Amino acid sequence: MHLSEEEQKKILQGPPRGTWAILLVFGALFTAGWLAMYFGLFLARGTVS
Amino acid sequence: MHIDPLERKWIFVVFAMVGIMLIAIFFTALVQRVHPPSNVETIDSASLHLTQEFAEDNLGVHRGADAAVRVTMVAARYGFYPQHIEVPAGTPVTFRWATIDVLHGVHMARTNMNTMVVPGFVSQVTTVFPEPGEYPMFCNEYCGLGHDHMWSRVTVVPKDQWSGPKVATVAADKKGG
Repeated sequence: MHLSEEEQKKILQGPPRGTWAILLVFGALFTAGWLAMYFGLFLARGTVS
Repeated sequence: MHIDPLERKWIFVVFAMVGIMLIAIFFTALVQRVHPPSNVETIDSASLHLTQEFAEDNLGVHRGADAAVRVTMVAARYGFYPQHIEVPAGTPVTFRWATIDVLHGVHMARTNMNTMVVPGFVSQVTTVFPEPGEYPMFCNEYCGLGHDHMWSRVTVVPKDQWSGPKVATVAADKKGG
């Protein structure tokens, strides 16, 4: 895809939406997985004391 | 100190994730009282068989005067004794362990039961088994050439089908026998 110089400049100077998307998707998936393991598996198996 | 903007974003996300995890852990620790087992109690491993609690005839499942279910077991190369026990589901069960020789570990698959059995100390863990079933119990600390054969079996049965002692077999105020 050919971008004009103006379009390229706009993208480079704009906010890094792709980076934020990757960060947030990774963070959300990782955190959701951890919470599922902790509450759904670890605590569901019964606590120890 | 210069931090690349991209790295700064990752740091922010990682801190947020760790923060959520810590909140969950502290919440369950403070509200639901979920915390690691802690019991400091010494015993002479060399004369374990001479103690009342860990004498061979006294090993196994007991019921305290407070109706609590207690299990006394000995870990020794290469087995857990008794090798099969039956406990009720949905009931607090207190396990008390001692080793007769070297360091062992106890891990009950598909449960949170996991502790070390250190020579000279009594390990104590109280847990509840929510689901009836067969649970293998493994040694998870390398203890010698026969380590991989060191395992035992725990059968968890529904509470109303449990055939364990119905009356107190150990005193309530005593940790052991």
